[in-house]
Amino acid sequence: MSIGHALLGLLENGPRHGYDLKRAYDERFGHDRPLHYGQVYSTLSRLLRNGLVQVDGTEAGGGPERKRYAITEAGVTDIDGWLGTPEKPEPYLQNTLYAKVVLALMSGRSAQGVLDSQRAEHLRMMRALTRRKADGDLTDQLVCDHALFHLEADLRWLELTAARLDELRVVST
Amino acid sequence: MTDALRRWFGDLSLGVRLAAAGGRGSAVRLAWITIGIGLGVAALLTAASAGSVLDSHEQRTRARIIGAAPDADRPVPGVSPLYSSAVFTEFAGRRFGGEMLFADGATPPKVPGVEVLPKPGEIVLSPALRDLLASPEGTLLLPRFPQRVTGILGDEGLSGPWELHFYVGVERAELPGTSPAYSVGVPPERLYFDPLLSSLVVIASVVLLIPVVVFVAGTARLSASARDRRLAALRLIGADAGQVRRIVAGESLAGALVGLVAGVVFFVVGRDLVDSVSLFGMSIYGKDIRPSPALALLVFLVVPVIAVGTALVALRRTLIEPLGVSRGARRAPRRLWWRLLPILAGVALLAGQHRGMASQPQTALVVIGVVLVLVGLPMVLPWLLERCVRRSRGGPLSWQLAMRRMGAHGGASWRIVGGFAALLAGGIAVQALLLTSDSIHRDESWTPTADRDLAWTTTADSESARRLAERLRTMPGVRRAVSYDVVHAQQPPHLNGPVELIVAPCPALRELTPIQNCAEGDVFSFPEPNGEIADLPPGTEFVLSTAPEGRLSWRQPERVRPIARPAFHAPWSGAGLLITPAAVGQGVPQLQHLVAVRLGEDDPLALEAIRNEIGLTRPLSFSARATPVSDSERTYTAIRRLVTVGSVAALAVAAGGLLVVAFEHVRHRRRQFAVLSATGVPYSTLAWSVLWQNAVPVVLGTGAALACGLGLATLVLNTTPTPQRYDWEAIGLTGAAAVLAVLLATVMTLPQLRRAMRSEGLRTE
Amino acid sequence: MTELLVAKGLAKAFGPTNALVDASMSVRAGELVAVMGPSGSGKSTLLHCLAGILKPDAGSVTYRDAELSAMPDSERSALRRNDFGFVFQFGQLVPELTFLENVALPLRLGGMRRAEAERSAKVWMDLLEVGDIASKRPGEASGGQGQRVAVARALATEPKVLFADEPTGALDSLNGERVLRLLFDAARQTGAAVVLVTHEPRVAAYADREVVVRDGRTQDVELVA
Ligand SMILES: Nc1ncnc2c1ncn2[C@@H]1O[C@H](COP(=O)(O)OP(=O)(O)OP(=O)(O)O)[C@@H](O)[C@H]1O
Ligand SMILES: [Mg+2]
Repeated sequence: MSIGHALLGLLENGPRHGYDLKRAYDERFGHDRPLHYGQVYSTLSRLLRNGLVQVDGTEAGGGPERKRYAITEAGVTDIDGWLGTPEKPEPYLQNTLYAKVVLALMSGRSAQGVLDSQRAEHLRMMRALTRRKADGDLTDQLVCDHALFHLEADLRWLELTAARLDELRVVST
Repeated sequence: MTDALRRWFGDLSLGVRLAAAGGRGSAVRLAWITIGIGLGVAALLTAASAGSVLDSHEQRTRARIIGAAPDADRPVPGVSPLYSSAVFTEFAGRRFGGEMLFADGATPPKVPGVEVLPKPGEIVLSPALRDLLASPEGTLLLPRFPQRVTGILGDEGLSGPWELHFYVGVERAELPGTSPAYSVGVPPERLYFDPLLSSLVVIASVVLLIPVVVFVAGTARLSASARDRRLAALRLIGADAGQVRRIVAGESLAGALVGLVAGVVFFVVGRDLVDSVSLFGMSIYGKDIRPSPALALLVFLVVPVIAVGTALVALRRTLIEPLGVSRGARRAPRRLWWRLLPILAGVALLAGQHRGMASQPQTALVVIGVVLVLVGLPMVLPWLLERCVRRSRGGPLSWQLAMRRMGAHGGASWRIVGGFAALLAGGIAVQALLLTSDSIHRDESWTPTADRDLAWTTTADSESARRLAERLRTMPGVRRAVSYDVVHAQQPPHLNGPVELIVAPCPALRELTPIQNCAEGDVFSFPEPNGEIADLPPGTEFVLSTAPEGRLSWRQPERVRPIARPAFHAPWSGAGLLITPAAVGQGVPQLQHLVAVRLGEDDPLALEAIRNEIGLTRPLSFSARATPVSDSERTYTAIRRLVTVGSVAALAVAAGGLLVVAFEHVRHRRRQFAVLSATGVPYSTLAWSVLWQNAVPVVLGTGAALACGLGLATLVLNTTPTPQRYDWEAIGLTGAAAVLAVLLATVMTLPQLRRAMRSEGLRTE
Repeated sequence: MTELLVAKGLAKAFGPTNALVDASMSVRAGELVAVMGPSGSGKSTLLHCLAGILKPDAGSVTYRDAELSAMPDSERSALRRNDFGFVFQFGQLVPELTFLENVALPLRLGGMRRAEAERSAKVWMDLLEVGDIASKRPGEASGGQGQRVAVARALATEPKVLFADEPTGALDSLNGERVLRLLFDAARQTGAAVVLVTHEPRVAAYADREVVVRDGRTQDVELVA
């Protein structure tokens, strides 16, 4: 789960204060693990350093929490790349995928595309495993089956999400 | 070429295999189809035998008529003369008869069925009469048959196995005025049919045939939905349209052929049964039921054609849609207008033949009209049912289940019900026709309502008449008995009504009518029933005999006193004269000696006792009862019985069809029933739903049939100038039979339903 | 590889329901294509159009450069008999016939003599490990056995394309996979292409390619990636 991409995605909707960002993040993605302020500011400063965000203005009183951040051109490109690249299929991806889908929806990008490319990636992996299973011995088969069942579960989740995109769009924007 | 032929046969045999294959389920189906088509075939063969039954019936009754042939009284060398006179008697509402015989010599002509002619005091009985006399209810009849039984009539002398008939030997003196016969039998003649009767016969046969045809078509299509699925599966794996048609043809052909065989078996077995059971007073020899070869051939050709044809017609949808496997597409709703065409055309035809519009009704057109209406009814009915089923909302769960199921797979039962309705409608029409023609054949105006208790009989001479009257007077149930003589005389030419001459001494005359002063030599005159007095001037001459030995006549004397009509005399006769014997003088050759009896209240036992007292050879006649006489009347009775038997048989066939459909329905829906019961739907709900499903079409069909039948009868009877009558009793009876059929079909399917509900139903493809 | 079966721009409506809106896909000789998608998306309809069982309202299906909808029924039937095979979820066997007769059925429809047809049917049944129930009827065996028989029947004519609509939908995963393995192996041996409609990703993973149907439209996912 990349906090940097998530913050970038949230900034894409408009400049925000650091405090706002944390609140927005927690609301959407941090149900069980809210961010610490420290994590927010360290991530923001990394993004600043890489030129993906810029400081939009500072309110009187100084201090880090008074700065307003905005996304740069480079930041948007980075987000594009991230959303367009399927994750490597592995177990427990749902947090990342969920964030990707929500951010794609918030920014008006194709959430369906995100899901489709991800499911293609998953299937490619499953096909490879299936082939290995066919050639391998029993141990191999059992190991592959374990992975296959997990991947299948993820894939089903992807399908379910795809089927419920419209509901999700209402909730997340 | 040969290869194509081989594949043809391959497809056909695959169809045959499909019809026969498949474990218990299809064996049951095949059995039902066999029974169904078999019953239909048997009914058709029976109908095809109607001619032979009537014919042999008629032939045998003609062959035993004694001395009626034109040259019967011409002496034949080596044959001694036979004297005979027909006698009739009545017992328990049955009228039957025989012949009094006197054989003058050792070589009388042969009487059919009689081994040795009875001598005086002997009698030959038909088997049925013998059995009746031997039975407990025959004890009352026994005194009328004191003669010694010397033989039993053979089949060739009887119209049917249940006919009561006898030949009784008498002395020559008991057969006055009969002429000798040297031959027995009248040459066969064509049966006489009047126009109404012949259109009746045609309509009746059509009415009986329609349901049979519908039934054959219906059974051939049993479990059509299962078959549709099967065929769709075949289509899916690449059977082309022609192949599927051939497979279906093979399949239904197998059913039809097995059904034909079964039908012949049913027919033969049923024919043998006919001898041993008597239905509706029918008396038919099994061996008389011989289908006409041409008609039988037609049956053998038509039944397979119908079976295959309907199966192929039903195939259209499956051919278009081989996807029946995965989903049953919804049917387009039935259209009304073309279904109405036959009925409308038929009604138009019949209305056109209305006696006001056509100068002479044409039987052919009337029959065509009736057929069109009857064929149209089963076509409109499915539409009607579908409408009703679609309309139905709400109701208990069982009702809803039945409605939806009917909406989805109504086909087969609707078709059967269609046949059922056509049968009912036709039956109602035929009943009305029968009743109407009944009144033509029995002249109702002839039957007076009064004097039901007046009866009389004849005796050999005045003395025995007097004694008989005396004996009768003492019997219970007899109020009065009078003996008198009637003179047969030629009427004076100037009279337009007959005048009867009654001869009796004064005491007897007083019994007949109140007379103040009566002395020997007096003559009295009584008027016609309407009060008119005959124009009889003194000196009017009545010619009593024109025998070559000398003309004998009687002149009316000067003094004739008017009196009231004798209450004892036949009400339909005209005016007459009461004459004391002295006024007649001696030597009146032809006197009829009568005993008139006035009976007490209706007492069948007393009546039989009176008949026994009178004896076998003298019938007791009633003034107020008509007895069938005419030739046409006899044919008519036979036809009416045949129609009754036929409609009962056809009704049974239709009920059987309903049963078959109900069975098939439960069998085919086994899985659904099992699933429903597994989900907790109680047995009673399912049973009710089966009842609804059987009942709703039948009730609707019966209603439509009633309307249609009454309308049809009205239309047909409008083509003849006779007052219409409806046999409400028979109509009610047929309706009740329909209800009974429904209940029976439902009850008989319940065990099967129970079995289906036990989980075994869940385990089928 | 040559394109065996090509569908372009298919549309099909059942009354008010648009089952297919714009579907295109192709099947190459010997390959294994999985068709996936949500329930009611039009997968079965697409399959039936491909096999010439349903006539699409618009678009074309060509098999070896011959347009299916232009063929007369007899030719399409012959195609189904000789070049295509079918396996469905259930209800495809004729319940009145024994398993052996069921498998021999397409051969006999093709004009083969009975004895010969049943001999070769037996070979296929043995291959699918159901030779021992040859004389039973569909009601008398388990769903998995019935399904194997269905596969044997589909393969008996050595089709060029095998259509399978949720063939393992009613079976557990182990049995389902067994049946599929047998099906795929046999298809590989005879060089048949397989078009497989399925809900299960694990089943789809056996395929070389996947076509996703959504709301009557196809997406060749390979192209998106
Ligand atoms: N014969 C038909 N009559 C009416 N509607 C139909 C018919 N066949 C299909 N449909 C409709 O077309 C749509 C697509 O059906 P189809 O069977 O192709 O879906 P599917 O993708 O195979 O679904 P599933 O995965 O549930 O089998 C559905 O909405 C269905 O209701
Ligand atoms: Mg489907």
